[in-house]
Amino acid sequence: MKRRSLLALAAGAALLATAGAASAAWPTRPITLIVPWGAGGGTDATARIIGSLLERELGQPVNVVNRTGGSGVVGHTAIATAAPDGYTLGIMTVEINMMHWQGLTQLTWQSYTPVAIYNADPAGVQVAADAPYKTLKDLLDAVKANPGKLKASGTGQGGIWHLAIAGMLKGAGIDPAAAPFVPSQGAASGLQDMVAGGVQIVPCSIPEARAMLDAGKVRSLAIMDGKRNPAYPGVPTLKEAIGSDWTMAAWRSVVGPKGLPKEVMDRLLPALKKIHDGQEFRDFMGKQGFGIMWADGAAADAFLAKSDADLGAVMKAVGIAK
Amino acid sequence: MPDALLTAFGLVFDPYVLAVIAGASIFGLFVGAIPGLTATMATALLVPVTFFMEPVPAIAAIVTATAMAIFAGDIPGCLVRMPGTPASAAYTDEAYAMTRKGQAEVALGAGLVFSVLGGIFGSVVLVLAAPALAEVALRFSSFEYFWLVALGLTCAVFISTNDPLKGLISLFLGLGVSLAGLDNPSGYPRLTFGSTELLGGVSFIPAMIGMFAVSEIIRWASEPDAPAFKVQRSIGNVFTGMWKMTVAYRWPLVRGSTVGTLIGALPGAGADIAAWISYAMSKRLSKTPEKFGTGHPEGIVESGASNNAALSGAWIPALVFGIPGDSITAIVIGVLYMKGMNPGPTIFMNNAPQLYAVFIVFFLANLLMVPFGWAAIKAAKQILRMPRNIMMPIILLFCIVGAFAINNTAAGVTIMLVFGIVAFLMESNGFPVAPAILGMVLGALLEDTFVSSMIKADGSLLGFFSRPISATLGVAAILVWFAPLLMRTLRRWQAPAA
Amino acid sequence: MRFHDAFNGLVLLLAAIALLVYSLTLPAMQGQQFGPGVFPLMVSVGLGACALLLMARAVAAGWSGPFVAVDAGLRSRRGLTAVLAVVLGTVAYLLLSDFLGFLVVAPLVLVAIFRSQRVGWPAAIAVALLGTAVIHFVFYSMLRVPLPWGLLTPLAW
Repeated sequence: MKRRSLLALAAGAALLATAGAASAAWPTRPITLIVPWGAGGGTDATARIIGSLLERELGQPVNVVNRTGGSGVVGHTAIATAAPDGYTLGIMTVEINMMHWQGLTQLTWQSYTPVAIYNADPAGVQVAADAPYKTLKDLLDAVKANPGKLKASGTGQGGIWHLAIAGMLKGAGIDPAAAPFVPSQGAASGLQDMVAGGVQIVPCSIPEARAMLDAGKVRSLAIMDGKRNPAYPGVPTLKEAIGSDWTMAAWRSVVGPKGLPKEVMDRLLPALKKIHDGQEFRDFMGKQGFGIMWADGAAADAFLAKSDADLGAVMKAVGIAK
Repeated sequence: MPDALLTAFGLVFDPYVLAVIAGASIFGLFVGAIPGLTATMATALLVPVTFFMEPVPAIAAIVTATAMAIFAGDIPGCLVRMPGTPASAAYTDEAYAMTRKGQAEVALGAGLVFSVLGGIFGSVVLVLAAPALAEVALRFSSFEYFWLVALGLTCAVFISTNDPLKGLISLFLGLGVSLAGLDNPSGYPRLTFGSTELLGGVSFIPAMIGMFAVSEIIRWASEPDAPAFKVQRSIGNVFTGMWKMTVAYRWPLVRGSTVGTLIGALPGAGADIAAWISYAMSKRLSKTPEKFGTGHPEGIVESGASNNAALSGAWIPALVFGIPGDSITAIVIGVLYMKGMNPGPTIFMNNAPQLYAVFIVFFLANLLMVPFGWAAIKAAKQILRMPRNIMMPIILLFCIVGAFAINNTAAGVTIMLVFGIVAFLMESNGFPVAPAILGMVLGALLEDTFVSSMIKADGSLLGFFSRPISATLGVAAILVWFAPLLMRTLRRWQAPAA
Repeated sequence: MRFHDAFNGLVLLLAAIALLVYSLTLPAMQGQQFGPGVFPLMVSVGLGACALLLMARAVAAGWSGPFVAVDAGLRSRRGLTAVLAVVLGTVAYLLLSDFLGFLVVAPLVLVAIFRSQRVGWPAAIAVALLGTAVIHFVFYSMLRVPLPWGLLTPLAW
């Protein structure tokens, strides 16, 4: 008897739960924003500022939750498998277009509902300040002359900066293996290892190298972007330096699980756009040195599809893709 | 300079800033004392709050909260064998042994007083020698780190009192656990058994909560007739006898503070590793090593000072080169940029008043730890008065929620339970658990530094000796490993002759 | 529960062999001299060597002592119930918390463990409810840990 009434109670409550979700206008309760990377990283920092501004826009708490590990697989999986009710959102990063090529997951960018891409940081080519290479051409000549002698670092094996330099070398007609890649925990440890004399090239983004650049410990030879970085106008683009069209950038996007309802999108997208255009977000991104971009709807889809195809091609060339 | 200093005092001793510091103190104590929430989490939780503050209160909040959190991690470690942060893990067993002897107040008092002294020492070094030390830290590449980690692992043998062989086995088990997941130099999924959660490896903090706290709860449950803890009637207060201890252990204190500051200043090694190395060193160099592990404050003095000193040390490379000294300063660097205090050698010129204000906050935070820590100990001590059959189940719930909180996933709770049962079995069979935890902490770092050094040296082991600092560290490590063996051989060799 | 060290050594040796075999199956990485198997291989050799030493030591010391000794506490009904309550309570939390929600499961688990410790019903229920409320407030409201709401989702705050 007791058990049966408990069951009935449970069923009733479950009914109430589904009914509640369908009726009131989103959002009626706190939203979880999943970050696939650790507290303190760039993705986490941008997610926390978006979270706190979104909280003000939507009038509901937005909890930033770090689901780390597995080079982003764990967190990306958590976003994709959440209920598409608008109460679990996440930050998708460029790695989503890399890990499925490696056979680490079945997930692709199409497993999500992209809301908007809000940031992109192009790769740069950094060497130690006391290195003999004054231009990118000097560096590439040295790589060609002594294959295997100069080593690069700045992310894990098959990470975004690994692909950036592999693609650049391939575009310049050099075997990517001529500059072997030393896996590191991230750009900071790669840069420090370079200054300590462990490796010679770190192809990370400019914001990641900023303090070392400003301290005069590191020199940036080129950025892999269509235009120069306004904060570092002295650094040429790859096109200007060696005439290559290769570009590569790490980007970040707000997403939801696949099938995010239209009423959620109708409220979320304008809110996000308003934040993106606001002074607080601009100040934050500018001071941290993050590059700002905006793409939603069809533009976002096209951007993501191109990024996916480009990365797949490099990964096959380097031999990382399955 | 005097002008800047005067301005700096004005910036800090402002009612609003002082209120922020007080609030951050309570917040830090709170987060540090709760298992599963680390000083790094405290910092991350503070970031959105600091976004709307001026630079000085923003940084002050973080400095204060982290200093309090690292100390507060000692409290539950000492009282219920549940280290609040990984930095307390090295001496949790020692402090808990003191609690069982009825000396909880002495253990906590030592933790507090020597945290404060270590923190102040680290702050002095930060103020006086940051640029010079940062230059040294930048000379460390993977070769040097490899030897440092290898030396750290040696601690496993030193800290396992009764049975070094079982300590070594426990260490290898910890290293084995660290193999799981995708975060290895090759980026290849290992030992994941097809689980997405395991791609991220075995989450360390839930494992630690399991091995210390849950195993203790299981043991308590399995001994229904065990006598209750002795709770000593108050012996004056927490600070009684501390002056005597400071004098008696002045060298361990200086050693712990120095080692802590230096390890903290090295990017990639923070308060947790500093505490382990200091604890092992304390035992190795002590006049009474046999007392370690039985509830002896000497190791707590040295490693307690060490982890708080490391906290200040980590700011050295962060301020001078924007290279994080640990996971806390990784977040801090972002905040510094946000506040226009760009890290780099120029920070000493461009932002002198703010920088001096931050330095003042370092001292203030460490001094405030005395009254706040005293109050926290006084409050926390009450749980020892609670009947154990009420207290232990509540602690289990704390552990469950703490293990969940670190990644917000039930997988953390599973890991906690499995490691709790394994640790219970290990300890019943005479295998110490501390080396396994050390293996988990250092395993990934050991593999990273070994493999990337081998790649850089094109597969030649000579690479580990080809740089001056690395060669020195290597010789030191080899001497430490083989010294006992060498001594024994020499003695045996001399014996017949004599 | 204490096993003979010869047996402990054997179990560890088997684990080391399994790890060794596994590490040999790991592929080499394209463009890298040192694949994912190098370090596991080193760990397995170290563990295996220590396991052999442990077995040798146990055998050399003679086969004295029982193969397995169970502590008195675990043999008593009360001790066994208490241990099972802790372990199964945690398992129950794992299985049910997502569906029923923290606020429902946590007090149930606590009451079960309190009862295994012979805490009276009124005290068990009161402390369980109070403890759950405090922990929920601290973690969920103050520290923003997303504890599951489960069935209580419509009531979530």
